[in-house]
Amino acid sequence: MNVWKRSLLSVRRKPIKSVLLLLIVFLIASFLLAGMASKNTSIAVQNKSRQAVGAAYRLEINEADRRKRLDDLEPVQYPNGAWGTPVPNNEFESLLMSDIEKIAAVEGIASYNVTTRTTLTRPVGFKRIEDSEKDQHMDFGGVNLYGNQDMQMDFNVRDENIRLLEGRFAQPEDKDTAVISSDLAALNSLKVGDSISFEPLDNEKAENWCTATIIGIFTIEHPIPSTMNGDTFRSENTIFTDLHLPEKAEGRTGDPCFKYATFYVENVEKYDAVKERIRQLDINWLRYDLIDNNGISEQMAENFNSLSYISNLLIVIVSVCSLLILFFVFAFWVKSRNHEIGILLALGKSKKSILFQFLLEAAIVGCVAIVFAGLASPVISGRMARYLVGEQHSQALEAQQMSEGLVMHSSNIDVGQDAVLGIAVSIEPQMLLLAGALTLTLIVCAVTLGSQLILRHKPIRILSEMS
Amino acid sequence: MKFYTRAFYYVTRKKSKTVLLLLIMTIAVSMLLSGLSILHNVQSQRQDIGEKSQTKLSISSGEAEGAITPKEVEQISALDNVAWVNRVSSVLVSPVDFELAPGTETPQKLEAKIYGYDDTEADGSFSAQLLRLQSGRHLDPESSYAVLLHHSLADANALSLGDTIAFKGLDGQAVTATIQGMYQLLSDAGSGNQRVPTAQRAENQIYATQDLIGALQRELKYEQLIAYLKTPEELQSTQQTLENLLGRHEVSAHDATFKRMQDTLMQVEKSAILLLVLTAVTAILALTLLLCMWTRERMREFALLLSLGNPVGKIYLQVVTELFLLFAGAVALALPAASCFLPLLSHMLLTGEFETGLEVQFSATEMFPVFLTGLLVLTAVALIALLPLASTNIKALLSHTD
Repeated sequence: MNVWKRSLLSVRRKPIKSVLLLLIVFLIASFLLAGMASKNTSIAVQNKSRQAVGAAYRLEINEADRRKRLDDLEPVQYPNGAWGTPVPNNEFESLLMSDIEKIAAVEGIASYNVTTRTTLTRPVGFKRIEDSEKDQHMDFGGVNLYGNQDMQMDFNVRDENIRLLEGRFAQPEDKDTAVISSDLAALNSLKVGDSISFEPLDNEKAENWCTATIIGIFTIEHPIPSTMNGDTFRSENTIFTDLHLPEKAEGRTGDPCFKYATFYVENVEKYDAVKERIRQLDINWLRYDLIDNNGISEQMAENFNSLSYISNLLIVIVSVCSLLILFFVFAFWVKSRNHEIGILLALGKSKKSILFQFLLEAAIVGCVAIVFAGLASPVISGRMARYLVGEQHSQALEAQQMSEGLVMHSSNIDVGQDAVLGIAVSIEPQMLLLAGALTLTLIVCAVTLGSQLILRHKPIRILSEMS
Repeated sequence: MKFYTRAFYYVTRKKSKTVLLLLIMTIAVSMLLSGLSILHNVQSQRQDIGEKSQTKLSISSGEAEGAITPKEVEQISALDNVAWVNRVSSVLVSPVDFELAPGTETPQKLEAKIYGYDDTEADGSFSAQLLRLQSGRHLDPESSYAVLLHHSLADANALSLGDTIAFKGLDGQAVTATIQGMYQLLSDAGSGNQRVPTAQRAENQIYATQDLIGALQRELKYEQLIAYLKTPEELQSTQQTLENLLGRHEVSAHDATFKRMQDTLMQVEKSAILLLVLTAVTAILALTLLLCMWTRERMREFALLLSLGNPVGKIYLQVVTELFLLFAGAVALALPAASCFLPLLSHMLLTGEFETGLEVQFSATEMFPVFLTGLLVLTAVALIALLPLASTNIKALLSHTD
């Protein structure tokens, strides 16, 4: 009987032992696969945590440069006798959109927002919220407008100072839109879809009105920060608009005043590299300050580095230990067959052929187990993703499972703007190959070593040892 | 021969098999202990991140309710979940040795508003990025009798960092402070000199430490208190506690950053737990299967013992005793191995950003359930492996070949 036939028969005729061994190899191969997938997932999750904290740059007008440019202008005398230099137009104190767009196009910038200066206007056709007990003669008697390119990225929205009750926030493509407070809406019986008008504060001729459509109503969770006092600046009278409405409301259409722009980094680990790229742009940097806006991110950098390091450590430990267990299990398996080895040697089989037979048996069991582990990998990754994502998304997860050959990709969809849980638990062919290769290598080493420990003795000694 | 004597002899006389089983069990237990230790580290990192996420509760006093008193501040600071508090107050003062930017009121009231903070960077107009520090440093709990001035006010009075300025409170008490920083205001409509009283002019807003404010007030009181939390997950319960404690004041929560991170932070911890669970399951199942193999090979031996009149129960106890002895040995080896091995391995894998390797963290309270679970698993394994003994007759067992 040749060695191939003997191996196959040995595996078939000891079904329970073979199945037990197969299960052990299947378990450890699956565990290795799960560990590798978990490591990638863990890295992705940690990156998402870093991204959730957010790191950004903020572009503002450089005050010293602004004053220098102002000093170059002719001073004028105000009615109260004081001398000063009026700003010629909004552009004088504004960020230039061409420069903003250059920065936004830099590789590594994920998104950006532009915010206008707080613009004071007088409400037309609607009343503002006023404190009746306050002396209003020093107040401007108006409301304040905040223009944003993407209102969702406004500081007050991100920090949850305001919360949308109805409608939506303005998007970059919106024109002449406004989001008002629920107090203002209630006072004037306004609702989403209605129009409101504004006029410049110094508008004596009742012209130059501008009209906006209400697209959203917000509620105030925390006071909107302001350095100015008075009812004009109170949170209830703050109106968020699209980017160009404020300039129209103050009668300066085409002359916007962008106060600051915030650029969010795609990958917080590349923060410094991206900043370096921005600095190399052909922009008059004397006009601007580029400020780091990564305070919390920086504080947490060490924590995230620790997490990354700990994840790697855990994977190394479990991989090494799993492989060691596999090694010793197969060594144990070989050790328990010393009686059989003795008989084969006594029958004249060479040590090489006995070793080859054991290797074949181990390889058959190992290969079948690895194939089963590969076939089970979609279930493994699905369960892992379900556990990580949570029960509330499990149905969406099931709907999303798909198979492409051996690549099983389970991920959940984004549920709502805040539930960014796009975790992919992928067991890729490379992982399967690596796990399979490691497993088989260990099995071969274990069987060879285990066999050598026995085969080095003479047959009579082997036969005389109890199994 | 007693079952435990037989068990001892078996373990000591089958050295190679005993050593192999012992090694496998030791590795499995070490794996679990390392996993536990790493899970602790992950949890403590997560907790640290949570604390740094600046989740806070803001307590504001309205005019009707009256200001927040120092006693209430103490009560709030003493709460378990409160890491630190930032007190906010304000007071009107007159300048002593410097001039304010004049307002448009008539008659002019040359008063400035001083805002008191424990930490100007954490809250207020600086954190809202309406103001930006141009030079010097922010006021923090270490600062004493220090102020931040608008750069225009400093320039107009030829003041620079480190200089001192003096104020007078409404009751005439004079206080001197050191200029610790200068800030600028982002240019805004209405921040110029149109219809703004002196006290409200942006240039005249001064930020000061709380000790300075306290020296200028008749009695200590605060307009706002911001309590930073250690554990953001307990935000709601802490908010409830504060609302019960300070019924007359409004308590609101700020946890936007933590909310954005919450799900992913939970997943970070879940990843570690998942791996630990997988480790435990794999170790237990692999051991179970191996022990099944081990006991199956000894069926002939057990059949012989049965035929010699030993009851099944005694054989079961013998096997369980052998397993317990091996397990005890494995735990005794795994504990020092994990304690030495883990820091060494972590040190070898250092990325260069850490000075020391990972510390092993598992307590006796955690070890006990692990040990108990191990014993229960082994007991169950022995039962499963020895089931054929109870169901098959001795003749069939004796004729069973390896």
